[in-house]
Amino acid sequence: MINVPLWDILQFLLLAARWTLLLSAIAFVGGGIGALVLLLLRYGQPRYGVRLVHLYVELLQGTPLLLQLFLVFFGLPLLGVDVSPILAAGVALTLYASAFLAEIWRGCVDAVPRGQWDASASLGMNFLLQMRYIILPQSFRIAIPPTVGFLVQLLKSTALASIVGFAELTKAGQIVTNATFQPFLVYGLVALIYFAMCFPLTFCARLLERKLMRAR
Amino acid sequence: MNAQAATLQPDPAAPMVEMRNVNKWYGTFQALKNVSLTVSKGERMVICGPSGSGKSTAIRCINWLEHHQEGQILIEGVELTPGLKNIDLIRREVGMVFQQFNLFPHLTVLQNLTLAPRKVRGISRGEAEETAMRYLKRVRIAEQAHKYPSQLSGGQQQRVAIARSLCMEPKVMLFDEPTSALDPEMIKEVLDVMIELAEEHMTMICVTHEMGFARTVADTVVFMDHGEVVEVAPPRTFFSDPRNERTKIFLGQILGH
Repeated sequence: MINVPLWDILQFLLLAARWTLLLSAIAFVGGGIGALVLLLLRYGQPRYGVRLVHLYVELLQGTPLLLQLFLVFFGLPLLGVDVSPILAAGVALTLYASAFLAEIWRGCVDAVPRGQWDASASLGMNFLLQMRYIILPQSFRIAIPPTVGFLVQLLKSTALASIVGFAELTKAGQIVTNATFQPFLVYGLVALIYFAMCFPLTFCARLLERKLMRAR
Repeated sequence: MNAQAATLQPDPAAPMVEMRNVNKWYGTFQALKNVSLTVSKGERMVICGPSGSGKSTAIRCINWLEHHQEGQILIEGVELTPGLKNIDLIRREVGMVFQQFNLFPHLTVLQNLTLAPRKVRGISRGEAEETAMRYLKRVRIAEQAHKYPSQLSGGQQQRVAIARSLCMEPKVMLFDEPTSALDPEMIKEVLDVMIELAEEHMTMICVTHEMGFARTVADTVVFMDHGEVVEVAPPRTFFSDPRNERTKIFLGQILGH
């Protein structure tokens, strides 16, 4: 058994946690943009957009994220695209996040009363103006808690990227464990670091939610 | 998302609104049966009838919030058709006031009034605010300009909604039971605003149960029942000498108490 100082273990893990944060950020930003596009397709003209979006969401919600990760990682090379682990993980998590966020946000858009569509339409506003100025701002407030909830879930899901060899926090934990033979200590630290990343998210969400409540 | 420069080519000689043999179904239920109505410029029409008679559906078809399946609807000679790309161009000329006000709750009163003129008509913020304040004064509510809709009473909200429609300088105003959701003491303040508007010869189509309003300002009163137009008459003959049996029964019920 090699004696590694605790500080060195922690430092190694924290450096790897940056990749977890980066991967989460990529997936969240990419997924957010993807979900917004899906949302516009879902509510806009022509109507076949609805079915297309529905199919996409069903497919991604009905298959394990791990398999989506495998399909991207092993599938893209078949198409002649050489993928690095971070690219594969980024693409898979983005696709996954866009499907879930689209579904979460759809519920929030549906929660805006029908009369808001009627009133804005009767003022001559087209679909994009309605979405931009009337519907999305009102959906935003309801969307915060479930969106942050999903973001926390997404951050934790990045652990799966370790399986395709991406050296994020969980992978780093495995590497350190193999060297130190102290799985409980190392994975305990890994868990604490995940918690330290997720807790501020939920905390900020609560603050923001309260602030928006007051603004009403 | 700039203001579209496109324009319609309305026919100035055509009536403001014309419905020709309009039919509409919800599934198997026929909501409108051969509805034909003509509203000329400056005319003030009141549509009344029991609930479920199709009067709200008819008025919502005029600005394409509901789509008819048969017949024709023309706004200043421009027909509403399924392929019509410039429905937004027609809608900006047709103001609408709803039973539930439908103000935008996340915007102040002033923002409610200036949003569409700025984003749809491309008017500058300063000019839009000036127009908005003018209309808020007209509906006697200028001092509430910076409040949110939820801070206003129902009557005040409905007057804001009327002002919001007027800010688009529409050619015709549709009112869909504008006083039905109001407490009795607030009905008058909204009706007063509508009467003023009528006296300025705004073209108006108004679905309402306010028979006093119909008597005072309407040029034409329409009675609808089961999706059909049963009777069309000027208020004097409509109230004193209704022809149709169903109109008589309805008037008996509504004026009897």
